[in-house]
Amino acid sequence: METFDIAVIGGGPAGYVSAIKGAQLGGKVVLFEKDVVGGTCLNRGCIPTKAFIKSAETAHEAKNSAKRGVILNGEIAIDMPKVVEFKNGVVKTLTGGVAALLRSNGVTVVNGVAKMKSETEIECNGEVYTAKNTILCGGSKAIKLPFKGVDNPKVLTSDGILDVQELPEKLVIIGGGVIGCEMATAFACFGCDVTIVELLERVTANLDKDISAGITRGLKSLGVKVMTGKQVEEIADKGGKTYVIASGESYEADLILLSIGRAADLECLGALADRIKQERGKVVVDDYMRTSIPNIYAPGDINGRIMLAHPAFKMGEAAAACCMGKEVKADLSKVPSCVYTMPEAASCGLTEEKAKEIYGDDLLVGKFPFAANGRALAGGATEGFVKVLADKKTGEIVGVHMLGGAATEMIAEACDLMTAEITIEEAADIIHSHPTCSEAFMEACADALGCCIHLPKKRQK
Amino acid sequence: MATAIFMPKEGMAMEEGTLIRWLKNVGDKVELDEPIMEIETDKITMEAEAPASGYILAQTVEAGAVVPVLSTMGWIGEKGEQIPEAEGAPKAEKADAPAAEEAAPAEAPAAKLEAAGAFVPATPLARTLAAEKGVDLAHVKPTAANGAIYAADVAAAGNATPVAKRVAEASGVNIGDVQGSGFGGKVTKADVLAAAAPAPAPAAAPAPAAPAADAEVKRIAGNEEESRVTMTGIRRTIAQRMAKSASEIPVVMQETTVDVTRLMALREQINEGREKAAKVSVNDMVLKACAMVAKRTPRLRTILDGKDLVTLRRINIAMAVNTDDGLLVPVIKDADTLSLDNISAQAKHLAALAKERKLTPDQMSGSVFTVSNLGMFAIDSFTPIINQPNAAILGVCRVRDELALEAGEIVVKKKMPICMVYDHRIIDGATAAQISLEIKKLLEKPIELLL
Repeated sequence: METFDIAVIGGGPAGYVSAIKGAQLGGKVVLFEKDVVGGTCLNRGCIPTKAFIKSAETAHEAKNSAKRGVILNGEIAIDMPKVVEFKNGVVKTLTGGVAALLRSNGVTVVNGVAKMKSETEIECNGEVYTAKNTILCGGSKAIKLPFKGVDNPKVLTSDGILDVQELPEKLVIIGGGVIGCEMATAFACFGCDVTIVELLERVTANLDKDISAGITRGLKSLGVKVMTGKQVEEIADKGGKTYVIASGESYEADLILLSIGRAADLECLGALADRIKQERGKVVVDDYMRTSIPNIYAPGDINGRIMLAHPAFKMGEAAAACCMGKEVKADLSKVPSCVYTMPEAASCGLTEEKAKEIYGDDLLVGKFPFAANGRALAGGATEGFVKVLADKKTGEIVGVHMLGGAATEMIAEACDLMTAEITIEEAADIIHSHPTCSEAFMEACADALGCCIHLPKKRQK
Repeated sequence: MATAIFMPKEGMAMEEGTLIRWLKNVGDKVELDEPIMEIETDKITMEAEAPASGYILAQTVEAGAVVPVLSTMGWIGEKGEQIPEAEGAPKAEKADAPAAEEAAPAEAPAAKLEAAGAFVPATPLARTLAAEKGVDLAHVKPTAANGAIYAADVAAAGNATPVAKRVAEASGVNIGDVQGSGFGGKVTKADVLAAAAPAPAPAAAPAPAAPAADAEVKRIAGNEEESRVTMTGIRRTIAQRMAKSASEIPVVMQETTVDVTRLMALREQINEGREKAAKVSVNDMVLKACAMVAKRTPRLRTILDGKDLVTLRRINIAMAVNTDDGLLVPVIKDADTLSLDNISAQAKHLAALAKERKLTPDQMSGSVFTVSNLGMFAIDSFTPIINQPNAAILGVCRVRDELALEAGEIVVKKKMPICMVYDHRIIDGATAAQISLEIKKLLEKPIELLL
């Protein structure tokens, strides 16, 4: 068999992107996928959850349409099998699309579990393939902590929750991170009684405090009970009912979603598991995605740097470029993160807390509430804000946090300006369409500079 | 129809000329080929002739202005004839204020070259850098008088991001000196920070190397990497400054041997009975000699600033100090006013500060001349790199014993070569030789250093 220039193990975001990039740069590429191309993102993560959330949003709008003068006669019911069917349709379109992309670029796709046999050999389905370089894109899988009762059949991870055919009456979600909050939003809109049980003092604890607070308010307004500071001790069946017991409290559950985080999937390391440097269960890589073995790369969730699809794309591209002899670093300094709750949230850069530590009195903070934004008011969704943090000395925008509007779309502007190193003074001058939610960003920049037109003058301290 | 008077192109390399003065005035009648203006190019001053017979209708350029070749400077035609609209007005600039805006005349030649599809003069290093950075040489602004593009120009060619410019301002970094790592050679904030920091950040260097450290990266042809560390801090600054100096300056080295027999004897006398910390070194004496020569030789303390030769007043002498992190060059200010003992004390103090990395930016700037001493090693000759913007640098080599015949007797003389490397744009060979001779004379009659 011919020697490939690049072998990619795993066809998720990091995997299929590296394969296509490698082919674009003229390499002969083989990609191994044990399930369906698209990985967690397309099949069990990003995409299907957004389809669910759209269904949830639609239900939510319908339930609240009367105040706008749109009267719906009859009950608003959720047909879960239909919700799941729709979601599956979306997933199928996209995975089919990725497969077509790979085909059009001449990538050889092999269906099976692949593992490293040696530095230049990969074993899959009993056959051995040779490649000059290998890109390990094993991705990650949901963590299951070994507390008592975790094997209860009512416990699902994000993998299973998206195929639920029957809505539970009471859903308990263990873990108030992004996945937990998004699923809470969806199922609350579907009409379930949802409780989030979170270990730390706030949900989405890695995000800015104001964002966490806003997400919590949003969840509560949908009827979700948010229990923070609670450590799960066990899941117990008692008297025909199931309870999640955390810090002494009992929460009844018909279905339990375990969303406490993800761990790297190191199966693909195979025979090289002892030789490829790892730390705390993740493969160690440099900025070029190189592992401790020179011709082996590990972009994406497998290195645990930023476990999101979009940085995985970039890391995959860098790895493929390096395989083909170009020195390309994956610059992960300005990766945005998004939370598709209602209202939705998005951030790029430092939290206010972190920024305060670094810049002290030189930190400029500007905040513009959507309650003062024309578009938001017209649309009736006035929760949320845009917050901008900048360095007074250089005008550098160091953090942007958005809650509400189309935050997940709007954050792109912040990423653009921060990556291009545009100063906050210039940003405040850019004409934004009116009326849009996007203009809140510009107003927040002006507020940071003390010259926001659309906010009342601040009292002198 | 009126005929344009234009700056003639007197030679392939000529990009612009200076109008010294008009020889004829507006309204004067001139004949074809009659001299009408005096112009100056890089090489010579000459007269330029009228391109047609007629009356001088207009002169759109003033005496002293620097004008790109082939651009319109005036009009000749029939008396009372209308002259065309001033769209052909040249981007002229007063020659005595070149610092005002370097954009206009410097851009015009590059644009003209691009338009003509002509060869862009650039050093090999500049070409390599331009290729690496994906920068089009036709868009690079040359700063040298001859219009050639040097590596530093390519480095400055990419834009700097707005934040990078602000950071540069705030930290006193000249953004033109910073190598850009962004798209198309663009200078980013990170590039400016790396150029500004004399002290390398402790976490910076090893991190990227660590995972690959124990790997045999097969990327260097024919060999194996033992280690790889990204250049930061002092090392990176040294690399940038040395490359810039080496690529910009046309250098010449002159070596002469100094008879230091009397110098060494005087030094022994001075140091007799002194504590180690108070002993005067050969280098201290060389510094003093250089200070004295610099004081009486304005050309030695002249620097090139754009197109100007600027003679500096303060006799600040820099000395090269070797530290663990690299070469640092602190400056002894007003060395001409200091006694030999004071110079010695200052030198020791600055060297100590250098090794502790406690030198302030002020202590590292403002020199007119630099001394680099490798005499403690077995070095007999070397060509130190000029410490910009100095006009020259003196390399001091080791003292060696030589036999000589004196009045029929065999005696041992102590000889020490000194190597002066100078910038031939500022100092010519004869001047350089004279300077070396002055320094040599002082060192050979060392009692003068004490007076």
